[in-house]
Amino acid sequence: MKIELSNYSKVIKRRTVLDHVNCIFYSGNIYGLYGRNGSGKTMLLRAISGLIYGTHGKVVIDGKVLHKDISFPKSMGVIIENTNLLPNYDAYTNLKILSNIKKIASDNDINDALSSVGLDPSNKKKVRTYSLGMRQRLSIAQALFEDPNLLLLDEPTNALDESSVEIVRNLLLKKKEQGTLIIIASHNKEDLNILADQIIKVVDGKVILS
Amino acid sequence: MDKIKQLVITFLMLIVYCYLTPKNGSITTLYGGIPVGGNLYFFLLNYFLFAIFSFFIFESTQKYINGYGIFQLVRHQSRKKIFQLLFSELIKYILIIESLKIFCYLLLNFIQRKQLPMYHLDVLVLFFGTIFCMIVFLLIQMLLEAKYSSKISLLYTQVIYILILFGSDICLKYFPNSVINYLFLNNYMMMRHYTLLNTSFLVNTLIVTLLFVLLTSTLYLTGKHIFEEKDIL
Repeated sequence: MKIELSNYSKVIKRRTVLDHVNCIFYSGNIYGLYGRNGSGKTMLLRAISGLIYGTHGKVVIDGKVLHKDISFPKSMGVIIENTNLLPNYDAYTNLKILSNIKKIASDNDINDALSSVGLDPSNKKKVRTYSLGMRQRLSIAQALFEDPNLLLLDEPTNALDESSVEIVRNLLLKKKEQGTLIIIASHNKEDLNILADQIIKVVDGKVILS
Repeated sequence: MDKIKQLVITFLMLIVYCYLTPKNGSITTLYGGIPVGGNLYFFLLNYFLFAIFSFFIFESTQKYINGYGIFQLVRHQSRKKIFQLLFSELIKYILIIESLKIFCYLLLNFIQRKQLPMYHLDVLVLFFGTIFCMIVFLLIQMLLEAKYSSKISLLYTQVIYILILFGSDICLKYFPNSVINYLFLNNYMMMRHYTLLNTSFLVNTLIVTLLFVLLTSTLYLTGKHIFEEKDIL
């Protein structure tokens, strides 16, 4: 998989949130987007995921122009800010409902994804009773359980304790070895130093490759 | 607020609505609307019903463009599909509330030992009129929700509804035979109003049905366009 952003800009309410971004991402790599709050990291993830339309430029995914040839990347798992799962259902049911849309993940895939992040698939507790860390782990399971080719993760280790951070890091490294393209936005430099093959600094909507 | 709680509150509000609705042994009174020159009580009752629908539909759009909706959107791979889901949810909610309303009305008739409701042909037409009317107003609320916050869109929709509600009465009073009366949608819910227009029941039904179909299609296409062009932030 290859994702290319060419001269991509996004202006929202006269404010340039992404400014002539040019970068290429290849599968089998982990890319880290690093920058302070409001620098444009999440907006860059939204641009790649197809959630926003660019003001200028384009995103090309495997030769197909986003919003022209395709509406969204075909196989993608996301964790992005302002998302949450259904609070009145347990973890398994939440993923089961989502799995009914594409119908590519089996019950085993759901169970495996939940177990891999340290959640018990048979636990019938409703998500609204979960701690922040458990919700975050469920979000990660949600992004992973359909085994997508592209993972866009916004602050994936937020609210996780040390052991959970370790579990998630290992999971992501395993996915990378399987050829998944992973883009992580984080302000946690330690995470990115351990995980990322390339760290991309985002400053005021501009991308600085390192 | 989750849908179960919303449904329970809606049911209680419908009981109150049906209790306050005048009963003359005909289910037509449920759809009869405001009598010409009717007092404020009838206006408030009419608005109360709309408020129940509006309350039930509150935050429906936000649910699809924020939070959980993003997980669904990236899997459906289509904004259009999300709007279609939202529209079908709207129809489902309206049918649920209308069925509940009729159930509450029959239940109260039974408990209060009123005359058993009689069926009239008009009721069917008025029933669909009410459904269409709700679709139009609630679609407006949903589309506004795609642009503004849920609370702002709720407020705007209430203002639009109230203006049209009172406007229709004023218009009928000063321009009784004018076609402009057809533009006040909730007129259709007021059987006693449209029968005053100098056209037959059949012609009225056809004109208003056409108007509703046109309005619903326009709003549907507008909604689809808004969703297709919308940034999910």
